[in-house]
Amino acid sequence: MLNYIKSELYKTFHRKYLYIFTGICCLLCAGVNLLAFFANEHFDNPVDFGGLLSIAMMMFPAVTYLMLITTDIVFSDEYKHGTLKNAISYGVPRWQVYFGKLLVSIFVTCLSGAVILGVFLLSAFLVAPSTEQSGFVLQWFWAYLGGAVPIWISGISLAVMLFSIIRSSTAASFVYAGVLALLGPMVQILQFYVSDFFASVYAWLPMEVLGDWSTRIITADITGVDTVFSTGLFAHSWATGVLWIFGTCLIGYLVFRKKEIK
Amino acid sequence: MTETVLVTQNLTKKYGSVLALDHVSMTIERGQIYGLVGRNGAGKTTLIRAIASQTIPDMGAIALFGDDTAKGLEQARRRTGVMVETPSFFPFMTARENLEYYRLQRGIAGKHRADEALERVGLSGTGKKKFKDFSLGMKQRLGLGLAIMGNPDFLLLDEPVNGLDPMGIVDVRNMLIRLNQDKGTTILISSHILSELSSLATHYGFLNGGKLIEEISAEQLHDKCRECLQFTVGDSAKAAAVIERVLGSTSYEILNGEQIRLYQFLEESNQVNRVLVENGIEVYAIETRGENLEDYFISLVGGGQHA
Repeated sequence: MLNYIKSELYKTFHRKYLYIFTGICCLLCAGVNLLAFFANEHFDNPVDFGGLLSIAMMMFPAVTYLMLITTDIVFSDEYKHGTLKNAISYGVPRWQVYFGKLLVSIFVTCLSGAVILGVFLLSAFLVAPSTEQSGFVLQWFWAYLGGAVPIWISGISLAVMLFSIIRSSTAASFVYAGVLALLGPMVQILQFYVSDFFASVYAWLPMEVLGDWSTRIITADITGVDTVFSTGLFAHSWATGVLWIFGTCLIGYLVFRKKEIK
Repeated sequence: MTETVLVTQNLTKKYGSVLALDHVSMTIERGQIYGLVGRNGAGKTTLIRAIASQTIPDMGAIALFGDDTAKGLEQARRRTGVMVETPSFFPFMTARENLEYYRLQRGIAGKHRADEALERVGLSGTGKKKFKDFSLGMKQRLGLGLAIMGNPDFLLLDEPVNGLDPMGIVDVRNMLIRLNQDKGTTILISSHILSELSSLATHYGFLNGGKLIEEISAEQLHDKCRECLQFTVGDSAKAAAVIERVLGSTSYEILNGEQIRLYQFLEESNQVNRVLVENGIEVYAIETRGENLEDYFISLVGGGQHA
Protein backbone atom coordinates (compact mmCIF):
# COMPACT_ATOMS: atom_id res chain seq x y z
CA MET A 1 0.00 0.00 0.00
CA LEU A 2 2.81 2.37 0.91
CA ASN A 3 4.46 1.76 -2.47
CA TYR A 4 1.22 2.51 -4.25
CA ILE A 5 0.73 5.72 -2.31
CA LYS A 6 4.33 6.78 -3.05
CA SER A 7 3.81 6.25 -6.75
CA GLU A 8 0.51 8.15 -6.77
CA LEU A 9 2.11 11.07 -4.95
CA TYR A 10 5.01 11.02 -7.40
CA LYS A 11 2.60 11.15 -10.34
CA THR A 12 0.37 13.82 -8.78
CA PHE A 13 3.24 16.15 -8.00
CA HIS A 14 4.54 15.73 -11.53
CA ARG A 15 1.29 17.11 -12.89
CA LYS A 16 1.15 20.83 -13.49
CA TYR A 17 -2.61 20.94 -12.85
CA LEU A 18 -2.26 20.64 -9.09
CA TYR A 19 -0.04 23.69 -9.03
CA ILE A 20 -2.25 25.56 -11.48
CA PHE A 21 -5.37 24.78 -9.46
CA THR A 22 -3.78 25.79 -6.17
CA GLY A 23 -2.28 28.87 -7.74
CA ILE A 24 -5.57 30.02 -9.23
CA CYS A 25 -7.41 29.50 -5.96
CA CYS A 26 -4.71 31.44 -4.09
CA LEU A 27 -4.91 34.25 -6.63
CA LEU A 28 -8.69 34.36 -6.34
CA CYS A 29 -8.54 34.50 -2.54
CA ALA A 30 -5.84 37.14 -2.56
CA GLY A 31 -7.72 38.98 -5.30
CA VAL A 32 -10.92 39.16 -3.25
CA ASN A 33 -8.97 40.44 -0.29
CA LEU A 34 -7.21 42.99 -2.46
CA LEU A 35 -10.58 44.18 -3.76
CA ALA A 36 -11.71 44.60 -0.18
CA PHE A 37 -8.58 46.64 0.49
CA PHE A 38 -9.31 48.99 -2.40
CA ALA A 39 -12.94 49.21 -1.41
CA ASN A 40 -11.92 50.16 2.11
CA GLU A 41 -9.68 52.90 0.72
CA HIS A 42 -12.36 54.46 -1.45
CA PHE A 43 -15.71 53.70 0.07
CA ASP A 44 -17.45 53.96 3.42
CA ASN A 45 -18.48 50.83 5.33
CA PRO A 46 -15.05 49.19 5.36
CA VAL A 47 -14.86 45.42 5.29
CA ASP A 48 -12.97 44.16 8.29
CA PHE A 49 -11.13 40.88 8.83
CA GLY A 50 -14.28 39.31 10.23
CA GLY A 51 -16.20 40.40 7.16
CA LEU A 52 -13.72 38.64 4.87
CA LEU A 53 -13.95 35.52 7.01
CA SER A 54 -17.74 35.65 6.70
CA ILE A 55 -17.46 35.84 2.91
CA ALA A 56 -15.17 32.80 3.02
CA MET A 57 -17.60 30.86 5.21
CA MET A 58 -20.39 31.52 2.73
CA MET A 59 -18.21 29.75 0.17
CA PHE A 60 -17.77 26.59 2.26
CA PRO A 61 -20.63 24.67 0.63
CA ALA A 62 -19.23 25.53 -2.81
CA VAL A 63 -15.82 24.21 -1.74
CA THR A 64 -17.37 20.73 -1.78
CA TYR A 65 -17.54 20.97 -5.56
CA LEU A 66 -13.81 21.68 -5.67
CA MET A 67 -13.09 18.27 -4.12
CA LEU A 68 -13.83 16.90 -7.59
CA ILE A 69 -10.90 18.77 -9.08
CA THR A 70 -8.19 17.50 -6.74
CA THR A 71 -9.58 13.97 -6.94
CA ASP A 72 -9.58 14.18 -10.73
CA ILE A 73 -5.95 15.30 -10.66
CA VAL A 74 -5.04 12.25 -8.57
CA PHE A 75 -7.13 9.88 -10.67
CA SER A 76 -5.49 11.24 -13.85
CA ASP A 77 -8.02 9.71 -16.28
CA GLU A 78 -6.64 6.23 -15.72
CA TYR A 79 -9.54 4.60 -17.56
CA LYS A 80 -9.06 6.82 -20.59
CA HIS A 81 -5.30 6.22 -20.66
CA GLY A 82 -5.69 2.52 -19.87
CA THR A 83 -3.02 2.64 -17.18
CA LEU A 84 -4.93 0.80 -14.48
CA LYS A 85 -4.16 -2.49 -16.22
CA ASN A 86 -0.45 -2.04 -15.54
CA ALA A 87 -1.08 -2.03 -11.80
CA ILE A 88 -3.62 -4.86 -11.85
CA SER A 89 -1.43 -7.09 -14.05
CA TYR A 90 1.44 -6.68 -11.66
CA GLY A 91 -0.68 -8.00 -8.83
CA VAL A 92 -1.43 -4.76 -7.03
CA PRO A 93 -4.65 -5.71 -5.21
CA ARG A 94 -7.68 -3.73 -6.20
CA TRP A 95 -8.30 -2.64 -2.62
CA GLN A 96 -4.86 -1.01 -2.61
CA VAL A 97 -5.65 0.82 -5.84
CA TYR A 98 -9.00 2.04 -4.55
CA PHE A 99 -8.04 3.07 -1.05
CA GLY A 100 -4.62 4.26 -2.15
CA LYS A 101 -6.28 6.76 -4.47
CA LEU A 102 -8.67 7.79 -1.72
CA LEU A 103 -5.88 8.45 0.78
CA VAL A 104 -3.77 10.33 -1.74
CA SER A 105 -6.77 12.41 -2.82
CA ILE A 106 -7.43 13.35 0.80
CA PHE A 107 -3.77 14.18 1.43
CA VAL A 108 -3.35 16.25 -1.72
CA THR A 109 -6.62 18.10 -1.10
CA CYS A 110 -5.59 18.89 2.49
CA LEU A 111 -2.20 20.11 1.31
CA SER A 112 -3.65 22.29 -1.42
CA GLY A 113 -6.35 23.48 0.94
CA ALA A 114 -3.83 24.39 3.59
CA VAL A 115 -1.87 26.50 1.12
CA ILE A 116 -5.02 28.26 -0.14
CA LEU A 117 -6.27 28.82 3.39
CA GLY A 118 -2.90 30.16 4.43
CA VAL A 119 -2.81 32.62 1.53
CA PHE A 120 -6.36 33.71 2.24
CA LEU A 121 -5.89 34.24 5.95
CA LEU A 122 -2.58 36.00 5.58
CA SER A 123 -3.77 38.32 2.81
CA ALA A 124 -7.01 39.03 4.71
CA PHE A 125 -5.07 39.80 7.88
CA LEU A 126 -2.76 42.13 5.99
CA VAL A 127 -5.38 44.11 4.07
CA ALA A 128 -8.34 44.31 6.44
CA PRO A 129 -8.54 45.88 9.87
CA SER A 130 -9.25 43.62 12.82
CA THR A 131 -11.97 44.44 15.31
CA GLU A 132 -13.33 42.81 18.45
CA GLN A 133 -16.07 41.29 16.33
CA SER A 134 -13.43 39.81 14.06
CA GLY A 135 -12.31 37.70 16.99
CA PHE A 136 -15.74 36.13 17.37
CA VAL A 137 -16.03 35.55 13.66
CA LEU A 138 -12.63 33.88 13.67
CA GLN A 139 -13.93 31.44 16.28
CA TRP A 140 -16.92 30.73 14.09
CA PHE A 141 -14.56 30.24 11.17
CA TRP A 142 -12.52 27.56 12.92
CA ALA A 143 -15.65 25.90 14.27
CA TYR A 144 -17.28 25.81 10.85
CA LEU A 145 -14.02 24.52 9.32
CA GLY A 146 -13.92 21.75 11.89
CA GLY A 147 -17.46 20.76 10.98
CA ALA A 148 -16.95 21.08 7.23
CA VAL A 149 -13.83 18.92 6.97
CA PRO A 150 -15.62 15.54 7.31
CA ILE A 151 -18.21 16.72 4.78
CA TRP A 152 -15.51 17.70 2.32
CA ILE A 153 -13.75 14.36 2.84
CA SER A 154 -17.05 12.62 2.11
CA GLY A 155 -17.09 14.62 -1.14
CA ILE A 156 -13.65 13.23 -1.97
CA SER A 157 -14.88 9.73 -1.17
CA LEU A 158 -17.90 10.24 -3.41
CA ALA A 159 -15.64 11.48 -6.21
CA VAL A 160 -13.31 8.47 -5.85
CA MET A 161 -16.33 6.16 -5.97
CA LEU A 162 -17.63 7.78 -9.14
CA PHE A 163 -14.25 7.93 -10.88
CA SER A 164 -13.67 4.27 -10.01
CA ILE A 165 -16.94 2.95 -11.36
CA ILE A 166 -17.67 5.30 -14.26
CA ARG A 167 -15.15 5.02 -17.09
CA SER A 168 -15.71 8.52 -18.40
CA SER A 169 -14.32 11.14 -16.04
CA THR A 170 -16.59 13.72 -17.65
CA ALA A 171 -19.67 11.65 -16.90
CA ALA A 172 -18.40 11.00 -13.37
CA SER A 173 -17.97 14.74 -12.86
CA PHE A 174 -21.51 15.46 -13.99
CA VAL A 175 -22.89 12.78 -11.70
CA TYR A 176 -20.86 14.25 -8.82
CA ALA A 177 -22.24 17.72 -9.41
CA GLY A 178 -25.70 16.26 -9.85
CA VAL A 179 -25.56 14.40 -6.56
CA LEU A 180 -24.44 17.49 -4.68
CA ALA A 181 -26.86 19.88 -6.33
CA LEU A 182 -29.94 17.79 -6.96
CA LEU A 183 -30.08 15.13 -4.30
CA GLY A 184 -31.39 17.57 -1.70
CA PRO A 185 -34.28 18.91 -3.79
CA MET A 186 -35.16 15.37 -4.90
CA VAL A 187 -35.31 14.14 -1.33
CA GLN A 188 -37.46 17.14 -0.41
CA ILE A 189 -39.89 16.27 -3.20
CA LEU A 190 -40.06 12.73 -1.86
CA GLN A 191 -40.68 14.13 1.59
CA PHE A 192 -43.60 16.22 0.37
CA TYR A 193 -45.24 13.66 -1.85
CA VAL A 194 -44.22 10.26 -0.48
CA SER A 195 -43.33 10.17 3.19
CA ASP A 196 -42.05 12.28 6.08
CA PHE A 197 -39.37 9.66 6.51
CA PHE A 198 -37.43 11.51 3.84
CA ALA A 199 -37.15 14.50 6.14
CA SER A 200 -34.78 12.38 8.23
CA VAL A 201 -32.87 11.45 5.08
CA TYR A 202 -32.66 15.13 4.12
CA ALA A 203 -30.99 15.99 7.40
CA TRP A 204 -28.18 13.57 6.60
CA LEU A 205 -27.26 14.96 3.20
CA PRO A 206 -23.79 16.56 3.20
CA MET A 207 -24.75 19.76 1.38
CA GLU A 208 -27.73 20.25 3.66
CA VAL A 209 -25.50 19.91 6.72
CA LEU A 210 -23.20 22.61 5.37
CA GLY A 211 -26.24 24.68 4.46
CA ASP A 212 -27.39 24.43 8.08
CA TRP A 213 -24.06 25.83 9.28
CA SER A 214 -24.27 28.71 6.80
CA THR A 215 -27.83 29.58 7.86
CA ARG A 216 -26.81 29.77 11.50
CA ILE A 217 -23.97 32.12 10.65
CA ILE A 218 -26.15 34.43 8.58
CA THR A 219 -28.76 34.68 11.33
CA ALA A 220 -26.35 34.81 14.25
CA ASP A 221 -25.73 37.54 16.76
CA ILE A 222 -22.12 38.08 17.51
CA THR A 223 -21.99 36.83 21.05
CA GLY A 224 -19.66 33.93 20.75
CA VAL A 225 -19.28 30.60 19.05
CA ASP A 226 -21.42 28.65 21.50
CA THR A 227 -24.50 30.68 20.68
CA VAL A 228 -24.21 29.69 17.05
CA PHE A 229 -22.84 26.21 17.15
CA SER A 230 -23.29 23.28 19.45
CA THR A 231 -21.65 19.96 20.18
CA GLY A 232 -24.67 18.31 18.62
CA LEU A 233 -24.07 20.17 15.37
CA PHE A 234 -20.44 19.09 15.35
CA ALA A 235 -21.37 15.50 16.06
CA HIS A 236 -24.00 15.56 13.31
CA SER A 237 -21.47 16.94 10.81
CA TRP A 238 -18.94 14.28 11.65
CA ALA A 239 -21.53 11.51 11.70
CA THR A 240 -22.83 12.59 8.29
CA GLY A 241 -19.33 12.72 6.89
CA VAL A 242 -18.34 9.34 8.30
CA LEU A 243 -21.60 7.75 7.09
CA TRP A 244 -21.12 9.03 3.56
CA ILE A 245 -17.45 8.08 3.54
CA PHE A 246 -18.30 4.56 4.67
CA GLY A 247 -21.20 4.20 2.26
CA THR A 248 -19.38 5.51 -0.80
CA CYS A 249 -16.27 3.44 -0.03
CA LEU A 250 -18.35 0.30 0.33
CA ILE A 251 -20.26 0.79 -2.90
CA GLY A 252 -17.25 2.04 -4.80
CA TYR A 253 -14.93 -0.79 -3.81
CA LEU A 254 -17.51 -3.55 -4.27
CA VAL A 255 -18.17 -2.40 -7.83
CA PHE A 256 -14.52 -1.66 -8.63
CA ARG A 257 -13.19 -5.05 -7.56
CA LYS A 258 -15.30 -6.81 -10.17
CA LYS A 259 -14.79 -4.28 -12.91
CA GLU A 260 -13.08 -5.34 -16.10
CA ILE A 261 -9.91 -3.35 -16.54
CA LYS A 262 -8.90 -2.68 -20.15
CA MET B 1 12.44 -31.40 -12.38
CA THR B 2 11.19 -28.63 -14.66
CA GLU B 3 9.23 -25.95 -12.88
CA THR B 4 5.81 -25.26 -14.33
CA VAL B 5 5.34 -21.54 -14.77
CA LEU B 6 1.79 -21.44 -16.06
CA VAL B 7 -1.07 -23.89 -16.01
CA THR B 8 -4.55 -23.02 -17.17
CA GLN B 9 -7.46 -25.41 -16.79
CA ASN B 10 -10.69 -25.04 -18.76
CA LEU B 11 -10.33 -21.30 -18.96
CA THR B 12 -13.55 -19.90 -20.36
CA LYS B 13 -14.63 -16.34 -21.04
CA LYS B 14 -17.78 -15.13 -22.70
CA TYR B 15 -18.57 -11.63 -23.92
CA GLY B 16 -22.29 -11.54 -24.48
CA SER B 17 -22.98 -14.42 -26.84
CA VAL B 18 -19.38 -14.66 -28.02
CA LEU B 19 -17.21 -17.37 -26.48
CA ALA B 20 -13.82 -15.69 -26.47
CA LEU B 21 -12.12 -18.53 -24.60
CA ASP B 22 -13.49 -22.04 -24.74
CA HIS B 23 -12.12 -24.37 -22.09
CA VAL B 24 -8.48 -23.52 -22.72
CA SER B 25 -6.06 -25.78 -20.90
CA MET B 26 -2.37 -25.22 -21.41
CA THR B 27 0.95 -25.64 -19.68
CA ILE B 28 4.14 -23.62 -19.99
CA GLU B 29 7.32 -24.94 -18.44
CA ARG B 30 10.15 -22.81 -17.16
CA GLY B 31 12.54 -21.63 -19.83
CA GLN B 32 10.14 -22.02 -22.75
CA ILE B 33 9.33 -19.36 -25.29
CA TYR B 34 5.71 -20.17 -26.02
CA GLY B 35 4.33 -18.69 -29.23
CA LEU B 36 0.58 -18.16 -29.27
CA VAL B 37 -0.74 -18.32 -32.82
CA GLY B 38 -4.23 -17.50 -33.96
CA ARG B 39 -6.34 -15.40 -36.28
CA ASN B 40 -7.74 -12.01 -35.34
CA GLY B 41 -10.42 -12.67 -32.78
CA ALA B 42 -9.14 -16.16 -31.95
CA GLY B 43 -8.79 -15.26 -28.30
CA LYS B 44 -5.04 -14.62 -27.94
CA THR B 45 -5.40 -11.24 -26.26
CA THR B 46 -8.27 -12.44 -24.09
CA LEU B 47 -6.16 -15.37 -22.92
CA ILE B 48 -3.21 -13.18 -22.06
CA ARG B 49 -5.48 -10.68 -20.31
CA ALA B 50 -7.04 -13.47 -18.29
CA ILE B 51 -3.63 -14.74 -17.20
CA ALA B 52 -2.64 -11.16 -16.33
CA SER B 53 -5.83 -10.71 -14.28
CA GLN B 54 -7.04 -7.86 -16.44
CA THR B 55 -10.16 -9.83 -17.20
CA ILE B 56 -11.82 -12.30 -14.90
CA PRO B 57 -12.66 -15.61 -16.59
CA ASP B 58 -16.16 -17.01 -16.23
CA MET B 59 -14.81 -20.46 -15.55
CA GLY B 60 -11.56 -22.32 -15.11
CA ALA B 61 -8.39 -21.97 -13.12
CA ILE B 62 -4.99 -20.38 -13.50
CA ALA B 63 -1.87 -21.37 -11.63
CA LEU B 64 1.32 -19.34 -11.81
CA PHE B 65 4.55 -20.89 -10.53
CA GLY B 66 2.54 -23.76 -9.12
CA ASP B 67 0.19 -21.63 -7.02
CA ASP B 68 -3.48 -21.14 -7.83
CA THR B 69 -4.60 -19.46 -4.61
CA ALA B 70 -5.66 -15.82 -4.69
CA LYS B 71 -2.79 -14.76 -2.44
CA GLY B 72 -0.34 -16.92 -4.35
CA LEU B 73 -1.39 -15.48 -7.70
CA GLU B 74 -1.03 -11.96 -6.32
CA GLN B 75 2.55 -12.77 -5.32
CA ALA B 76 3.23 -14.65 -8.54
CA ARG B 77 2.15 -11.71 -10.68
CA ARG B 78 4.98 -9.73 -9.15
CA ARG B 79 7.30 -12.14 -10.92
CA THR B 80 5.65 -11.47 -14.26
CA GLY B 81 6.08 -8.69 -16.77
CA VAL B 82 3.10 -7.93 -18.99
CA MET B 83 2.54 -6.06 -22.20
CA VAL B 84 -0.98 -6.34 -23.61
CA GLU B 85 -2.15 -4.53 -26.71
CA THR B 86 -1.05 -0.93 -27.05
CA PRO B 87 1.07 0.04 -24.05
CA SER B 88 -0.61 2.51 -21.76
CA PHE B 89 1.19 5.24 -19.91
CA PHE B 90 0.46 8.70 -18.61
CA PRO B 91 0.69 11.08 -21.56
CA PHE B 92 1.79 14.03 -19.45
CA MET B 93 4.93 12.30 -18.19
CA THR B 94 8.20 11.44 -19.91
CA ALA B 95 9.40 7.87 -20.49
CA ARG B 96 11.62 8.00 -17.44
CA GLU B 97 8.89 9.48 -15.23
CA ASN B 98 6.43 6.82 -16.33
CA LEU B 99 8.86 4.02 -15.52
CA GLU B 100 9.84 5.69 -12.26
CA TYR B 101 6.14 5.81 -11.30
CA TYR B 102 5.85 2.07 -11.82
CA ARG B 103 9.21 1.39 -10.18
CA LEU B 104 7.92 3.09 -7.03
CA GLN B 105 4.59 1.31 -7.28
CA ARG B 106 6.21 -2.08 -7.60
CA GLY B 107 8.73 -1.47 -4.87
CA ILE B 108 11.66 -2.15 -7.20
CA ALA B 109 14.79 -1.01 -5.43
CA GLY B 110 17.37 1.13 -7.19
CA LYS B 111 16.69 4.47 -8.86
CA HIS B 112 18.85 3.37 -11.80
CA ARG B 113 16.39 0.62 -12.77
CA ALA B 114 14.21 2.93 -14.84
CA ASP B 115 17.21 4.23 -16.75
CA GLU B 116 18.50 0.70 -17.19
CA ALA B 117 15.20 -0.45 -18.69
CA LEU B 118 15.11 2.55 -21.03
CA GLU B 119 18.62 1.74 -22.21
CA ARG B 120 17.72 -1.88 -22.93
CA VAL B 121 14.81 -0.88 -25.15
CA GLY B 122 16.61 1.98 -26.84
CA LEU B 123 14.74 4.89 -25.27
CA SER B 124 17.45 6.42 -23.13
CA GLY B 125 17.68 9.47 -25.39
CA THR B 126 14.06 10.63 -25.13
CA GLY B 127 14.80 13.23 -22.45
CA LYS B 128 11.88 15.54 -21.74
CA LYS B 129 9.65 14.22 -24.52
CA LYS B 130 6.22 13.41 -23.12
CA PHE B 131 4.62 10.06 -23.80
CA LYS B 132 1.82 11.73 -25.76
CA ASP B 133 4.40 12.80 -28.35
CA PHE B 134 5.85 9.29 -28.83
CA SER B 135 5.54 7.37 -32.07
CA LEU B 136 3.86 3.94 -32.01
CA GLY B 137 7.24 2.23 -32.09
CA MET B 138 8.48 4.26 -29.13
CA LYS B 139 5.32 3.43 -27.20
CA GLN B 140 5.84 -0.27 -27.88
CA ARG B 141 9.44 -0.03 -26.67
CA LEU B 142 8.35 1.71 -23.48
CA GLY B 143 5.78 -1.02 -22.92
CA LEU B 144 8.53 -3.59 -23.23
CA GLY B 145 10.71 -1.54 -20.93
CA LEU B 146 8.02 -1.67 -18.26
CA ALA B 147 7.54 -5.39 -18.74
CA ILE B 148 11.23 -6.16 -18.23
CA MET B 149 12.03 -3.53 -15.60
CA GLY B 150 11.63 -5.79 -12.62
CA ASN B 151 13.65 -8.62 -14.19
CA PRO B 152 10.58 -10.85 -14.27
CA ASP B 153 10.71 -14.61 -14.37
CA PHE B 154 7.75 -14.75 -16.76
CA LEU B 155 6.94 -12.37 -19.61
CA LEU B 156 3.48 -12.08 -21.14
CA LEU B 157 3.74 -10.24 -24.45
CA ASP B 158 0.82 -9.55 -26.75
CA GLU B 159 1.98 -8.43 -30.18
CA PRO B 160 5.18 -6.86 -28.84
CA VAL B 161 6.65 -5.93 -32.24
CA ASN B 162 3.59 -4.04 -33.54
CA GLY B 163 4.65 -0.75 -34.99
CA LEU B 164 8.36 -1.47 -34.81
CA ASP B 165 10.62 -0.97 -37.80
CA PRO B 166 12.70 -3.92 -39.02
CA MET B 167 15.69 -2.95 -36.89
CA GLY B 168 13.41 -2.62 -33.90
CA ILE B 169 11.96 -6.06 -34.51
CA VAL B 170 15.47 -7.53 -34.63
CA ASP B 171 16.41 -5.67 -31.42
CA VAL B 172 13.37 -7.00 -29.60
CA ARG B 173 13.95 -10.52 -30.84
CA ASN B 174 17.55 -10.47 -29.72
CA MET B 175 16.59 -8.99 -26.36
CA LEU B 176 14.01 -11.70 -25.75
CA ILE B 177 16.42 -14.44 -26.75
CA ARG B 178 19.06 -12.99 -24.42
CA LEU B 179 16.58 -12.81 -21.56
CA ASN B 180 15.56 -16.39 -22.16
CA GLN B 181 19.05 -17.78 -22.53
CA ASP B 182 20.93 -15.67 -20.00
CA LYS B 183 18.32 -15.22 -17.30
CA GLY B 184 16.07 -18.19 -17.99
CA THR B 185 13.05 -15.94 -18.46
CA THR B 186 9.97 -17.82 -19.61
CA ILE B 187 8.05 -16.02 -22.32
CA LEU B 188 4.49 -16.26 -23.64
CA ILE B 189 4.30 -14.25 -26.84
CA SER B 190 1.57 -13.74 -29.36
CA SER B 191 2.24 -12.25 -32.74
CA HIS B 192 0.73 -11.91 -36.18
CA ILE B 193 4.18 -11.93 -37.70
CA LEU B 194 4.51 -15.69 -37.77
CA SER B 195 7.92 -15.61 -39.39
CA GLU B 196 9.16 -13.61 -36.40
CA LEU B 197 7.57 -16.07 -34.01
CA SER B 198 9.15 -19.01 -35.78
CA SER B 199 12.62 -17.57 -35.14
CA LEU B 200 11.88 -17.24 -31.42
CA ALA B 201 9.50 -19.81 -30.07
CA THR B 202 10.41 -23.14 -28.57
CA HIS B 203 6.77 -24.18 -28.29
CA TYR B 204 3.54 -23.20 -29.98
CA GLY B 205 -0.10 -23.06 -29.06
CA PHE B 206 -2.66 -22.67 -31.83
CA LEU B 207 -5.86 -20.89 -30.91
CA ASN B 208 -8.93 -20.89 -33.10
CA GLY B 209 -12.38 -19.66 -32.14
CA GLY B 210 -11.34 -19.50 -28.48
CA LYS B 211 -10.23 -23.13 -28.47
CA LEU B 212 -6.65 -24.31 -28.08
CA ILE B 213 -6.56 -26.72 -30.98
CA GLU B 214 -2.95 -27.84 -30.74
CA GLU B 215 0.16 -27.50 -28.64
CA ILE B 216 3.41 -28.53 -30.21
CA SER B 217 7.11 -28.01 -29.64
CA ALA B 218 9.24 -26.26 -32.23
CA GLU B 219 11.09 -29.50 -32.86
CA GLN B 220 7.91 -31.40 -33.54
CA LEU B 221 6.69 -28.59 -35.76
CA HIS B 222 9.94 -28.62 -37.64
CA ASP B 223 9.58 -32.35 -38.23
CA LYS B 224 6.05 -31.92 -39.47
CA CYS B 225 6.90 -29.01 -41.73
CA ARG B 226 10.24 -30.05 -43.13
CA GLU B 227 10.66 -30.37 -46.84
CA CYS B 228 9.70 -33.70 -48.36
CA LEU B 229 8.49 -35.49 -51.43
CA GLN B 230 4.84 -36.43 -51.05
CA PHE B 231 3.64 -39.34 -53.16
CA THR B 232 0.05 -40.28 -53.78
CA VAL B 233 0.23 -44.01 -54.49
CA GLY B 234 -2.00 -47.07 -54.78
CA ASP B 235 -0.67 -48.68 -51.60
CA SER B 236 1.44 -46.61 -49.25
CA ALA B 237 2.49 -49.61 -47.12
CA LYS B 238 3.89 -51.43 -50.15
CA ALA B 239 5.58 -48.21 -51.27
CA ALA B 240 7.21 -47.92 -47.84
CA ALA B 241 8.56 -51.44 -48.14
CA VAL B 242 10.07 -50.59 -51.56
CA ILE B 243 11.62 -47.38 -50.21
CA GLU B 244 13.27 -49.33 -47.40
CA ARG B 245 14.39 -52.32 -49.47
CA VAL B 246 15.48 -50.62 -52.70
CA LEU B 247 16.40 -47.07 -51.68
CA GLY B 248 17.66 -48.07 -48.23
CA SER B 249 15.87 -45.20 -46.53
CA THR B 250 13.78 -45.15 -43.38
CA SER B 251 13.25 -41.42 -43.49
CA TYR B 252 9.63 -41.55 -44.55
CA GLU B 253 6.18 -41.12 -43.05
CA ILE B 254 2.98 -42.91 -44.07
CA LEU B 255 0.17 -40.36 -43.88
CA ASN B 256 -2.65 -42.67 -44.82
CA GLY B 257 -3.42 -45.63 -47.14
CA GLU B 258 -2.57 -43.57 -50.22
CA GLN B 259 -0.02 -40.96 -49.22
CA ILE B 260 3.56 -41.26 -48.12
CA ARG B 261 6.20 -38.63 -47.44
CA LEU B 262 9.87 -39.16 -48.12
CA TYR B 263 12.36 -36.87 -46.43
CA GLN B 264 15.36 -37.93 -48.51
CA PHE B 265 16.20 -37.83 -52.23
CA LEU B 266 14.50 -34.44 -52.48
CA GLU B 267 16.37 -33.60 -55.72
CA GLU B 268 15.81 -37.05 -57.22
CA SER B 269 12.07 -37.35 -57.45
CA ASN B 270 12.34 -38.89 -60.94
CA GLN B 271 14.57 -41.67 -59.69
CA VAL B 272 12.30 -42.41 -56.75
CA ASN B 273 9.29 -42.43 -59.04
CA ARG B 274 11.02 -44.90 -61.40
CA VAL B 275 11.97 -47.22 -58.54
CA LEU B 276 8.40 -47.28 -57.23
CA VAL B 277 6.90 -47.92 -60.66
CA GLU B 278 9.47 -50.65 -61.48
CA ASN B 279 8.47 -52.37 -58.21
CA GLY B 280 4.80 -52.43 -59.07
CA ILE B 281 3.67 -49.36 -57.12
CA GLU B 282 1.10 -47.19 -58.85
CA VAL B 283 2.14 -43.54 -58.53
CA TYR B 284 -0.66 -41.00 -59.10
CA ALA B 285 1.06 -37.79 -58.01
CA ILE B 286 4.38 -36.45 -56.75
CA GLU B 287 4.85 -33.07 -55.12
CA THR B 288 7.57 -31.31 -53.21
CA ARG B 289 6.21 -29.98 -49.92
CA GLY B 290 7.67 -27.85 -47.20
CA GLU B 291 5.57 -25.88 -44.79
CA ASN B 292 6.51 -22.90 -42.72
CA LEU B 293 4.66 -21.90 -39.59
CA GLU B 294 2.15 -19.90 -41.58
CA ASP B 295 1.36 -22.80 -43.91
CA TYR B 296 1.05 -25.13 -40.96
CA PHE B 297 -1.29 -22.75 -39.16
CA ILE B 298 -3.45 -22.24 -42.24
CA SER B 299 -3.70 -25.96 -42.84
CA LEU B 300 -4.64 -26.43 -39.18
CA VAL B 301 -7.48 -23.91 -39.08
CA GLY B 302 -8.63 -23.99 -42.67
CA GLY B 303 -6.88 -22.73 -45.73
CA GLY B 304 -6.96 -19.34 -47.37
CA GLN B 305 -7.62 -17.24 -44.32
CA HIS B 306 -5.21 -14.86 -42.68
CA ALA B 307 -3.61 -15.45 -39.27
